[in-house]
Amino acid sequence: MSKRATGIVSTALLTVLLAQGLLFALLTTAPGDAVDLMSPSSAARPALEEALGLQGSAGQRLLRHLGNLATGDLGMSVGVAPGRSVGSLIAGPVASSAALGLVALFLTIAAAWLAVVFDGRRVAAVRLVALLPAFLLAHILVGSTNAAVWWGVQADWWSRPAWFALPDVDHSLRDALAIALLAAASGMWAEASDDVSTAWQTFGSAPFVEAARARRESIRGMAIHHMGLATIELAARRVPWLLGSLLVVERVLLIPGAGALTWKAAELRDVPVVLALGLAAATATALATALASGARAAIDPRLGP
Amino acid sequence: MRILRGMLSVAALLAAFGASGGQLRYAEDRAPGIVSPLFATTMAEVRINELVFEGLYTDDAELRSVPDLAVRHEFAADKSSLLVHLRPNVVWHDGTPFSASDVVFTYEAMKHPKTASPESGRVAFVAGVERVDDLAVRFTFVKPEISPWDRLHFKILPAHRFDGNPEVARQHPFRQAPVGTGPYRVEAFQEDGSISLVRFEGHRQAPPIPAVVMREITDKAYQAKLLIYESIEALVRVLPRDLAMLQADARVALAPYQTHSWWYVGMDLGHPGFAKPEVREALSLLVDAAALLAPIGTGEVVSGPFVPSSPFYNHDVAAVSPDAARAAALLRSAGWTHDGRTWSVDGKPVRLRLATAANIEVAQDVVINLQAQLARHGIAVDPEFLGPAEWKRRVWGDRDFDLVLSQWTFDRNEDIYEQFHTKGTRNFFGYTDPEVDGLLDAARAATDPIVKKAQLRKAHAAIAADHPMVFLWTLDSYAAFSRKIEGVDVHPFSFFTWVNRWTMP
Repeated sequence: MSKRATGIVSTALLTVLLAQGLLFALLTTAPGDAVDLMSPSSAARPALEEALGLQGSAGQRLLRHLGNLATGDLGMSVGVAPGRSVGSLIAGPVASSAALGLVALFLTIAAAWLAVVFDGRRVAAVRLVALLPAFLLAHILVGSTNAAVWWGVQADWWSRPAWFALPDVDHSLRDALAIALLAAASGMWAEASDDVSTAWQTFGSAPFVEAARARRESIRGMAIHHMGLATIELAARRVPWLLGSLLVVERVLLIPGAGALTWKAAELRDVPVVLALGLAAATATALATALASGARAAIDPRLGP
Repeated sequence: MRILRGMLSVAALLAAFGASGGQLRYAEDRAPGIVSPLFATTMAEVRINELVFEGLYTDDAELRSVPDLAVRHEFAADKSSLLVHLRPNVVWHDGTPFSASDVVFTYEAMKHPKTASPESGRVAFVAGVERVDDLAVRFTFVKPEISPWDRLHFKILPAHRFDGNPEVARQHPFRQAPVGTGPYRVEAFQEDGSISLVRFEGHRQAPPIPAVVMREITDKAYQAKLLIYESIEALVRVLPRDLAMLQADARVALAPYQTHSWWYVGMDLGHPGFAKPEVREALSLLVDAAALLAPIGTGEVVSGPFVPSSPFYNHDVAAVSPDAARAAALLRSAGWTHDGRTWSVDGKPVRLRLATAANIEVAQDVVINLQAQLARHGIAVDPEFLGPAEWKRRVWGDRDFDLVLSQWTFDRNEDIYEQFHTKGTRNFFGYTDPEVDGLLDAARAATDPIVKKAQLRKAHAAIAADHPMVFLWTLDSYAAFSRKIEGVDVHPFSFFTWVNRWTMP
């Protein structure tokens, strides 16, 4: 493995480990734990702590967690589904959220490019709406869609659709709404299109581009090279934002994904579940960053192996 | 996208929830984490346990104890033991016959220190349970009891699913496959948190509605709307702000029910300021409970720790009427000073932290109005909305608050010992009064219900005179149902106790 590849992998691993430590510290300092929520008598606390694996100091628990992690053991849920293995609990939600997130990321990038290409008043108006927070936009869309459809159903204008009422029914329309919100709302689209626009302007005013233009040479190859890399780096930067948005969007749209599960687990002080989901999120972020660094190293001839 | 989601068995979920098809769907804010009466800590868990499990006794429509898994009993003349004869021909959802061993096992599991059941207090009055024969058990009590059947409502568990070992861990497979004798059996735990139940055909009174689905709808703002849109058929508790909307809808019926629940503003009695009775009384006089209640719903202002419909409520004690002038006089006598705008103690303006559990319905409205009321009288209040774990730790554990806004909900026994006795496990305010302790001890020891009633009414008066908290109100509660459901009668605590009578043509 080259020195640069080793550096990328080490950074990724360090990111994941630091994220676990930070998350653990946050959860430990937050008031209350899973035992508090079970309202036991103080006499029952030691037995419950032992049963839930919460005995020992914070440092001991962190070391125990990291040790288990090294063997692939994510532990046992202590709040969301007490007694259930964390691996089985989070597998479905993580897969679901990963699918939503990947599609949303692709859409963000595509929409950012389109916004740059088709710049105009209409795009500006849609951009303005997309600046609204995801939760607010979700409530407005769900409320207005439901009200309009129900009105039509009551007036016998149409029959009740299979997806009605949002967001109660698990339907592709609900997924589509979630993807649109993830891709655009809370300024996601606006920031991405700004990034693309900035990258395009930077490229356009670069001395080597101006020199090529002066020589009347084609800049297509340079554009693909430069903007391709910028797009990959933009996608990598968007991943943490997307993961944050999943927390809100999934909760508001009642989607049983990793975001909604993280929220619930944090409320119930289900430390093993939050840590496992944090691990998945940190891994996704580190992977995206590593991929972007790898792509830059591969594409940019100025960076050595 | 559907292909990707298909990996997660979405199709199965759609099949389950796409249409009501003779199923009763009801909404909970949070799905039960565990379906086992041994570990029930939330009302959502109490409600689903009511569908799946049964106790020896249950409530009839008049809330009197009637046999359920029991058929009859013989009460010892000295009131220290009870021989309970069990219902024959009862089977568990897996077909195994129910027997006395299950009752003995349940008691032992609840009491076992390693099980650490939060429900262990329910059998604290029982000294032992002995199997007499396959269909009879004898309970012996710690001290003579008045009507022990009123306290034998806890749910019975199947001993055979635990190999008879009363040390039950939370991770026991039972949590994924609960088995009861109740009218519904658990069919599936869905990935979205929902739980599907189907009618237990082997039940002696199999309910008319073939299936029940508990839907986890975390956002309360959606619940009432989903009932109107016929996406669910029942709402356990209607938010006051949704009442008018549901009342106006012809497809929805409201079912009022009386809970043993009352709201209060509690004080940290360890706080030097609240040690003085004048200060506590003054605070009661500064709070206009009726004005706080009006924006959030209807109900009745209470004068003490019972609801007015309770036999223990002392109607001779009047609810506190706001009186700013008298409050000011009391505060001055306690050494507080007023500069025309704010109250101060030892030269420092009074500033109180008011903690509230964030999940209490309409708490925000009450807190804002209470803050405004006290601010008008020169007392600044800093509200804090706490998540469930933070609430338990800071309020119950660390007593890290000045004031708390909360409510107590009681079962049919309305036992306030834990809240107001010096040794009470829920007395996180630090209230202590020898007279009240004596009255509560006497009420617990009473073998005559009339004596118990008299002691608790005296306790009501003594507590009200002491002002350990500002007693607020009992709120009218409403469940809401689709009119497709008929014969609905809801139990004030367990909700589904009479589900056998509900029909869905």
